[in-house]
Amino acid sequence: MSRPPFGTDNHIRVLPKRESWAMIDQWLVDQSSAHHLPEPCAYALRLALEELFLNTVSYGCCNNVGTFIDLFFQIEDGHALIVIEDDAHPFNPLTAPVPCPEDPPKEREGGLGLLLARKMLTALDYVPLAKGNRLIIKKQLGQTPS
Amino acid sequence: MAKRRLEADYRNSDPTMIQIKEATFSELLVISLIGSLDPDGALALKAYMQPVLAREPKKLLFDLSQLDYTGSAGLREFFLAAKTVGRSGGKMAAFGMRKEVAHVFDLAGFATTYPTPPTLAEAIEALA
Repeated sequence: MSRPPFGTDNHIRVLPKRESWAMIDQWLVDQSSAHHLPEPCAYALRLALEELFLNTVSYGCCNNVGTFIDLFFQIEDGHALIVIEDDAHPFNPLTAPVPCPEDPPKEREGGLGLLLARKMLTALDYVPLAKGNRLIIKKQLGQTPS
Repeated sequence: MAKRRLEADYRNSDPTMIQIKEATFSELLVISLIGSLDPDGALALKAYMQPVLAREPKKLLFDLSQLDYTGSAGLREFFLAAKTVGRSGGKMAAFGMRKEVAHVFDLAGFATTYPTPPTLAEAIEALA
């Protein structure tokens, strides 16, 4: 996919800090409204983005490595896509262990966010960059809850 | 049913954050959540629930009829509350979830262990 250019309404750059979540949340609300996203789609994107952003801040950007996180939004072939790029430590959330829903609740709690993100999204891809990481979140617009 | 009713409110100064209301009906404790359980909302809920859970409620109900959103951080607080109540011999249920919120609870497997009925009456019955 070709991502939207920098500096448009479909792009936001934030500091890799937990406090940046409020800005991202509002940006996503604006994107959802502007593109008339169905509620299930908007919800899935919000949950996945929240989880992946906090993981990036907590694990990829620890020890002050990482100076920015870029997010890009676009609609492509009936899907909503969000690209997340950072210049932090290499971190692939897709290789993190996924808890089994049948496991006892204690064992489920770790990795719960990624489990939910994977179940709610159409696709979740990771690409390592020369310096940093790229995550591509994809959600079909017309998809009903599984 | 209600022999005594006490209410308490929690309203964070940030209007976009979660609001928490508490009502007690005899041994039944109802916690109502209004708004969104984003990461900061989940922290606020965690802080609110610590003294509540320390009282070892025997019947704890979460009214989620006005909860617009929860992510994994918020879900973890529900799991934690349910486990804590269970350890002290109590029971917990969550009722009234909106469609998208219910879907997330289902995906997390919460409903396989704890009751999540649509109505208050059914939730009370589940705790009997």
